[in-house]
Amino acid sequence: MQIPKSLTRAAMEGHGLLGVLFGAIIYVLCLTGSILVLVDQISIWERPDAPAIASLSDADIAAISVRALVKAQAAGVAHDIYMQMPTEELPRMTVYGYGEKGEHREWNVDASGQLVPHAETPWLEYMQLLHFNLTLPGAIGRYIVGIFGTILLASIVTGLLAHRRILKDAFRLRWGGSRRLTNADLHNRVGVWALPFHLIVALTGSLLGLAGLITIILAMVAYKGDQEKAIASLLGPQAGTDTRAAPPPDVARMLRDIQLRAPGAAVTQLAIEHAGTVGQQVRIMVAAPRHLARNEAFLFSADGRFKWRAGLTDGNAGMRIYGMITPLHYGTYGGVALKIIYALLGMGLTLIVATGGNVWLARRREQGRATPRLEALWAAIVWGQPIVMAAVALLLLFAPVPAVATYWLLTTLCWIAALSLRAKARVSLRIGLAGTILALFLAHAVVRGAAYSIVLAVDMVVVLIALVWIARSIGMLWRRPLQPASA
Amino acid sequence: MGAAFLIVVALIASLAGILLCWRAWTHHVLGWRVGAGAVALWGLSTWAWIAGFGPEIGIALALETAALLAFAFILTRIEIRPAQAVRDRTAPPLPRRRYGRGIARALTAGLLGFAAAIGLAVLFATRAPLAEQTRLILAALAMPSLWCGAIAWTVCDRLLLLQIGVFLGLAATSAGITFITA
Repeated sequence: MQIPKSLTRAAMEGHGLLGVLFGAIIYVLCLTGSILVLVDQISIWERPDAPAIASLSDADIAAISVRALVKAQAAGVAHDIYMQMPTEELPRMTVYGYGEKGEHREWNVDASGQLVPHAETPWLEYMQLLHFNLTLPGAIGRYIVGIFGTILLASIVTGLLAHRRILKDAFRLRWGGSRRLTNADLHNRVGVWALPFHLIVALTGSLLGLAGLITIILAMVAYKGDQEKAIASLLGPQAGTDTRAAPPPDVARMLRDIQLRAPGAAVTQLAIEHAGTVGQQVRIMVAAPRHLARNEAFLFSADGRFKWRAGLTDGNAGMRIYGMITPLHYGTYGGVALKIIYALLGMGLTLIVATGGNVWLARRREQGRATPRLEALWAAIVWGQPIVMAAVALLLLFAPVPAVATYWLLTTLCWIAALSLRAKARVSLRIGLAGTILALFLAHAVVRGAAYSIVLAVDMVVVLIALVWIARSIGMLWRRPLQPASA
Repeated sequence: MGAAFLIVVALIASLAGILLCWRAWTHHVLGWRVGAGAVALWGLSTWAWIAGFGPEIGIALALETAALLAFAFILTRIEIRPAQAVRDRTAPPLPRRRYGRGIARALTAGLLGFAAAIGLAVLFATRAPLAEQTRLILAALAMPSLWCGAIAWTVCDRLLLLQIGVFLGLAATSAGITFITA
């Protein structure tokens, strides 16, 4: 059975249209997502000096929860308190205190169980803001990211429909001939072979972005406007509204209860909702190895009585799928090895977006309809965005610059530079990227990495790669331009 | 069986499946036997991943590692060609674009497609004979999938009136059923 030619032609037009209109933002989302897969490792790289904790006993957790409540109350951010436990990948503990209006503070916990000032990771936070919200404020940014996730999904579907030679070209990768063919082969091979991953990441990303909007609409219709009831159907009973002061919750009793229900289970997160009030309740997540959800959630009332279990690992199909969505998107279910696979496949998706734009521009050039300004701007996106991200990280090493404002300023400068460089934009930006990465990792090695052997080793490996890259790129810049055979 | 052994079995079986397909592809003999052989090898690989990490994680790992292995293999078979320059050509300018149609298409895919998708998702969330959480989650997953379908259909088809009719009809019908039978 073969797809009709008219359909593949129409699908190709639609695929191109989506790419031209939305490719730049989808590229930024894919690039940031691929980097953020390694969030724990980046956190260690950015602040290797943060206090480390290998593991905690249940007694330690109970004691820290009391100290966290006291600290958050003193800082005026004790409406909800979250405690993120250390893991093998990120052996550090963070406590988050949230006020009623969303204001928040963070602390790290040192090896003696005391709350100490948080080791800030401003570059990581900026990258997360870029990926989750496109730096836009509030929920709007998240919804827009969700919409772009849906458009990415539509691009994947139209791309698949447009591909008439899936089997014929299944193993063909031509390199170095025409620019269009090289880019098209890369685009199609990565696109087809990694299709399941791309579909999963785009669908879960779209859902995570649009979740708030979907909840509001479902709540309006299915729960007659009661948004809390809609949320409670998935997250369990909500904390009470009685705001009178109450003693800290009996966390030790809850942890004993969990050991009876799930012997040997390790706590991964603990949240005290409406902390220090009569209405407070405690949500405890415990590790669930061999399950995609990675965690099971338990809910307790303040006196330590069991209230609810989510069933993320053994509940109904809905709860199990709900538990899988986030790990499937972030690749958190298989340790560092899986994260590297996710980062590589994510970079594959980023490459697909970049090569898709390249194919479109190269085809226009072959047709005699070259658009040099668009070519320069596309180069400013593909090569310029990583330069800007690395430059923001470099600046943040030396001064607490406003990351988002710096990002937009540098992005604008990059566009102006690319437009003025035109034909040389791509090669110049490639050298610029290698140079910025070289400067970033050299500076990091001196400023942050010197006392930490593993961090220093990572810095030095990247410096070496950047040096080779610069040498190759300079060679390309000096190479005489090719002349067409008939010219 | 140890996890390390199962990982090795899974990777070898997956690579063998890729090699089988590649050999058939180079000899132009992509038939049902090759297909069955590749499916059997990838089945063995998936079984090994499941045995090592459980069904939920195992299936995901099988898909991801197969994709990565396949691309790594393709990189080893890369055809290097001499660089070619593009001859400078000048084509006559394209006819002026009809922006009105483009805007209508965007509104159809964006707004009407969204309305149809959310209408069907809400209908499913409120009426499907499943557990409450299952209805909600499947509806939430269906919403972006249906919207994606609507976008893909609208951008791939020149007939805009048909899409407008279908999306309006689906949105109105699903909203009608949801509210009338509430």
